[in-house]
Amino acid sequence: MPTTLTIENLSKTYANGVRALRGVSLTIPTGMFGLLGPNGAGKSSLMRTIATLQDPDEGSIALGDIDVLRNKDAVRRVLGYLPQDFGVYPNVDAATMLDHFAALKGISDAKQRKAIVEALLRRVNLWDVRKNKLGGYSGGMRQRFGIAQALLGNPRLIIVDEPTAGLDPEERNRFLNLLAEIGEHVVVILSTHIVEDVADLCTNMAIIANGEVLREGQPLAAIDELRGKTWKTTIERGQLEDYERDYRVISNRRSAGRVLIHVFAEAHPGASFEPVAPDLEDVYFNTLARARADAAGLAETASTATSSLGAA
Amino acid sequence: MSQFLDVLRFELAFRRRHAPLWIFTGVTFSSAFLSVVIDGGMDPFGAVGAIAINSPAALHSMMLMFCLILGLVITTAFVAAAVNRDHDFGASGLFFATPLRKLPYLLGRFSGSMLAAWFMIAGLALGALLGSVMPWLDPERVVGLSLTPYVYVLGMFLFPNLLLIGAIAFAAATLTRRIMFSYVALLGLVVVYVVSGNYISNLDNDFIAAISDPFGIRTYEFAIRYWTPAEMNSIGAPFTAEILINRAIWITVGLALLGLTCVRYRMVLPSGGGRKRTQLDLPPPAKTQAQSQPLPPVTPRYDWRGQLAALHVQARAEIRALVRSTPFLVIVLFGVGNTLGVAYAFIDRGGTTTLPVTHLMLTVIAGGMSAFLLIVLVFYAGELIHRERKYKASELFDTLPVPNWVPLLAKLAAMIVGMFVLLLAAAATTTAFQLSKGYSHLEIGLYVRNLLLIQVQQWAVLGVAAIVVQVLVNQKFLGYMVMVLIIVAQLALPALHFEHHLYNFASYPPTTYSDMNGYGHFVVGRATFAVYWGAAAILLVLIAELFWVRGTDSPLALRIRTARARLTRGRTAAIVAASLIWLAVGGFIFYNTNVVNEYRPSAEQERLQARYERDYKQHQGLAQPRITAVEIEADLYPDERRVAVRGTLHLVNKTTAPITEIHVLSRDPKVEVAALELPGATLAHFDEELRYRIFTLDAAMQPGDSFTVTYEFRKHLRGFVNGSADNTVVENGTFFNSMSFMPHFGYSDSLELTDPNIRRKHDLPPRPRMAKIDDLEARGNSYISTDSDWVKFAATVSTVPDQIALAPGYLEREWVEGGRRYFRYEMDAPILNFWSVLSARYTVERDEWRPPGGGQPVAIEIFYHESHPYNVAKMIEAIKASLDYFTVEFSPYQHRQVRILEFPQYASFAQSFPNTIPYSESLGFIADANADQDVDYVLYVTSHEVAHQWWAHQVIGANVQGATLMSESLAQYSALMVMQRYYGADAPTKMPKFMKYELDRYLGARGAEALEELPLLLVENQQYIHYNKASVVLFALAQYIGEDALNGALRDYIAEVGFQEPPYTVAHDLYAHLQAATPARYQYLLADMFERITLYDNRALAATVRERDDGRFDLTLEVQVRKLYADGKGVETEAETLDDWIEVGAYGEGDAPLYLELHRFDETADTLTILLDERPRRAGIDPRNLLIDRAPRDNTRAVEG
Repeated sequence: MPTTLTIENLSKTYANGVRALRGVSLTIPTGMFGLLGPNGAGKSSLMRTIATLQDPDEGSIALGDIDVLRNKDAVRRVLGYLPQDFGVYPNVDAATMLDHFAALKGISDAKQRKAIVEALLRRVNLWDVRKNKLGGYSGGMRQRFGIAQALLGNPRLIIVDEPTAGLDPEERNRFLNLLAEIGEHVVVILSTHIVEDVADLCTNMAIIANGEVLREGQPLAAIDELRGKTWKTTIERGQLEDYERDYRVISNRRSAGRVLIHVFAEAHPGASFEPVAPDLEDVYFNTLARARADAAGLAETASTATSSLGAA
Repeated sequence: MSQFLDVLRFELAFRRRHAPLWIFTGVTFSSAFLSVVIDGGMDPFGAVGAIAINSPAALHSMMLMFCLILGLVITTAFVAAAVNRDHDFGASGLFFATPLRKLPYLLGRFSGSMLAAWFMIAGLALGALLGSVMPWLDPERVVGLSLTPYVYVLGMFLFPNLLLIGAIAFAAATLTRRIMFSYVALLGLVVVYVVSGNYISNLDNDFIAAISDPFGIRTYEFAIRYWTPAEMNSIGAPFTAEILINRAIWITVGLALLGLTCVRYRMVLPSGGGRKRTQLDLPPPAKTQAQSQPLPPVTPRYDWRGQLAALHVQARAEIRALVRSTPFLVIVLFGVGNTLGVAYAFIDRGGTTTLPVTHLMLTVIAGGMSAFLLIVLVFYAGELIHRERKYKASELFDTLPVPNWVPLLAKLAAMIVGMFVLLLAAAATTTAFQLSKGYSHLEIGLYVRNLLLIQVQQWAVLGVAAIVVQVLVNQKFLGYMVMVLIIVAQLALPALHFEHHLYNFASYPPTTYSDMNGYGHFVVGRATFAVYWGAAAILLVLIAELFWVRGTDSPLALRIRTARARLTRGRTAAIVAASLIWLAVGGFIFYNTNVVNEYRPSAEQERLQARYERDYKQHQGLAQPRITAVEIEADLYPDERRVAVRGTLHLVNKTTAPITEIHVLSRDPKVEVAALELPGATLAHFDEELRYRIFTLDAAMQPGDSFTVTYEFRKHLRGFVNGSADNTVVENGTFFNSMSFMPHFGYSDSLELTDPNIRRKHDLPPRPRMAKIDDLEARGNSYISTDSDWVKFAATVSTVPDQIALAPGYLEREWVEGGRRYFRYEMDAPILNFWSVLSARYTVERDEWRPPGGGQPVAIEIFYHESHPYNVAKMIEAIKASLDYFTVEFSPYQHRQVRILEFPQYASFAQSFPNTIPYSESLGFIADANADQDVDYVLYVTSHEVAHQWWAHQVIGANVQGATLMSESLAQYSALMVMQRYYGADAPTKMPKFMKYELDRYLGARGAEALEELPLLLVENQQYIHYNKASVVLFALAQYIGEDALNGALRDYIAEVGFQEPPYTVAHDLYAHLQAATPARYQYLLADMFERITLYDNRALAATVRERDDGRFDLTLEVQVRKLYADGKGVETEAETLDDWIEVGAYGEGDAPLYLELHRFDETADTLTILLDERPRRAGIDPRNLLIDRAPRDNTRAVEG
């Protein structure tokens, strides 16, 4: 039974005055859903709200027919959650800890628990090190342990918050493969600021920044929109400011002492530019750049924050 | 150097901006300030009686104690963090990368934080200084301002203590890079302190105990132990040997640790580059094909069984995490060590030990473990509640489908199990201790009952509070602080006269276990309070559940909103139910403590006593008839805690004037006066509150006239009380006396307030502690009774069939009637009007003593509790030895029987009534008579009490100064002589050991004198004088003038004043006999002993030996002889002339002296040469400490050469 997660008009302002979410509305179908956004965009706030860890000031969330905000316990029964930067008890081994989580997830039958723990540890490839203390695990192993606990108890909604940050490329690949496999039948929300994660895995995505959804849709469709409108050129370092004033620069990147820039333009912007096939990264940066431009336009002040974002 | 200064400056600047510096300084300042200015705040530190509030001695004690409590926390928090801060913030790499060298870095950090800690602790001195000049202090209780004591205590004690604490904390934290270990190391230091303290009560080890105390607290106490109030009020900076040695040792330890830290510290990051542990060598390779197998099916359940299973798993995990954590194991270890130390200290009664009976061991557990339980309670409450957050695992746990009560209850379970484990470890320790002492009557059932129903229950309530505080406060360190405040409030409330246990959290009325009576009448009160606080704890848990923080966003407003949202109907019902139980039980308690019984806080009690004196003092000395015969019928219902005493008193007007008014007082407020009939008298005045009645006689009672008063006094103890229970009528072991169950005639000043400070508070005039020795009016009464002299006595006592009831007199008849057992006792000779009634299930041991010269035998009966047979034979032996001595040396025994009756340990004395000696179960019955003891306690106490049959029951002093010389002092002397004869050949080695404790107690107690010390002849019921000083003095007198001469004087004295009618004898009469028996050359000694407070400072200055050609030895002894006279406040003046006979002695390898002779001294310095047959090892002046000497141990010294 396919389930849809519907988020409507979610807003949250923290006690310290930070407005983390401003009217976020999203519809997330079964399958992998990528939530892209820069640091501080409100991704984690959104994830935590869906994961019943905090309450919004306004708005509603529904998972199928479950009102997430009202009936937290029902959500928790079908939730697998892998928080950003989580920790574990360093002096406990993986099998014991997972068994503990299994019991707390309601798997009270010891035999079932033993079977699922073993299967999950094998699935995430930690079976051979199950007797080792979690404190000795590498970052990737810990993330795999994290996904194992998130998969306990037939979750219908899986939330993974920045799971690949800090992983080496090999670990990251392994982790994403695991995720792709489980994302076929349930709702999986993958929050990340790494564009490739979404490009490789997700059928649907949203880009949020500053607590707002900038764009929602399918990655391929978004890329298609930019086709024929993305151009690149290489410039000297000192020229960047001029180009940013004259063109809609999507991104810039150092390259052999000079700077490679991507520019958005409906038509060929000039002789020094050549067309480039857009990818999701261009979509992401373009979306952010446009949002910033809008914001700057509204405030009627010049923004200087572009380069720092572009470097990400 | 400049690097050092830079680091120091940086550290100081960091501290200065840091709020804790100012918070802690505020705490130290206000602690000291409040102690000084709050009424009674300095009492715990010895500022009582004549010792001023701001006397240096009291101030020093106060500051040392606070330095121990606050200094540990403050210093550790500051110093341990000095270097670890960099590690914790991940900043060490930044510092290590600079060209900073190790020493300046470490020492700069250490010195900076140390200076900050010193600054904070100096708040104590400042607070005390400021407090002691506050204008509202009672000017009679302060001494003039001097800076010396403050400078001294800071420089000698507080700063060095913090240095030591700091060095240990710094070393542990810096070298292990974990702050936790500095707390563990300091716990070790505290254990050193506690273990060292266990040696202080033993006079052979007290010097070691004094120098080994790391905080110098007992060092200071030891140094001032023989100080008089005058000295305590004036000496601001004592530099004694033990203080200097102690300080040198511990400052060296501190500096050495600091040096070690500097040597061992490496300025590199721990391998692995961060806080992570060593990682596994290789991440295992990913296997791609393992992926597609489907996961096995699971059927999660979320019903209550699933939740219980979750609770079970979670609780198990929490418990394991707690009891397996290193700090917990360290705490258990230290707790076990401490319990063992306390066990040794606890059975030590100054030269003798008691058997390690189980109820004593349970007290040991409570005392030995409480500090560790408190640490676990406070510390682990924070750890448990913040564990998930500490490890950043809270988001994982908070999204799990478990209700909030699962983690809450699991953590509570862990807390309670943790405390249970500590108590269990302590119980295992004391059990092993009992077995190691050869004591096998373990009483496992009592262990279980006490630990589970009392100690665990009590700690569980506090544990719940600690957890709930952490939940509600939601900030670990703030939570610690709140919990510490709660515990402090718990201790402080009663001291501030808020005495009801209903509002003092987790407090209970005192409960005493007795082998005879079990928990007896305490059970109901204790159980009710257990339910009361249990309900409060449940209520707290329910509230905590509402406020349980879940998720990542928890501002207060949101928590309140969430709590309100969680308040479902079920939860509301639970909260209401718990509240109702709590309130209902509280109401039941209030009904018992305040309605059924009277709740009388100490302030109210004082007020009543003050009113008694103000309203009725005018009647003191009013002529009243005196009781000449007493006949009582007492019906005891022990299981109902009820007794009725019907009495008939025969009164005679012994005065020369007609009597028209009779004043009657019933002293016991719990006694109901059911009947009180005076023939031909009308009640003219009745003060119900003070139970004072004035009757007017229709016809005046003429001199020589008599009449008969009949009365019925009833007592029915119902329910339970808030404070100390009335333990006189209990299920097994009833013991009451004539004070409560007889009307008293005329005003008695024994009910007046005595403490001069309290009297001033109530505007009462200064009161002489006792009437002057030449007060002729006062000589009309003995010090036992104001309304009778010698009386005829008979009693009929009934009790339940399985108990034996006893009263003074001989058993004339015993019968059963109406299912009750009756005993009829009649006394054949007149006795003091001071009788007691006892009833218990007794085992009886009978024997008899036959006078050596033939004649009437004396029956000996010991009535004891079946589980206390240990010393019964010894008691009989002691009675026989006493009768052997006293009947020959003093006078015949006036009765045909001696009985010892055991009573429960609600009181811990033995008391001599005519032919009857009630004896507490905690005294001789559980003394360990088998071990090789310095003091044979059973022999000593028994012979002392038997001696009272002469000294009190034959000779009784007038109610004036010196009265107890003729009772307590002479009983003490008599006991000493019995012991000396009993020891026979061992006496020369055994007696000095006993005398050493007597001298120590006398010298030690002088400082606590509330009014003024008096010479022995004028002693005003001062125990340290009439027991301890008198022992030393009379024992010495027997050595000087001879036992026979002294006994002859006593014999003559009894013959003169025994069984006399008023006016009663005074100390001068005894003294005249002693003077007559003393040769002229010792008359000075007698005067020094009885008329003055005399203190010697005798000393062996040098002792050398030279072997002569004939194989004998010349001992050359250089001695100092100083004699000082002290006034009542302890101010000493040197004796103007000397003409004193003092023993000089020399000792070889054995205990027996090679030489022991009296020498005459008339100079303060003298050199003697003594010819000896054997080589002496030790020699000196007054080696047996016959004379009172404030430094008794320097009298002899090792012989050189």
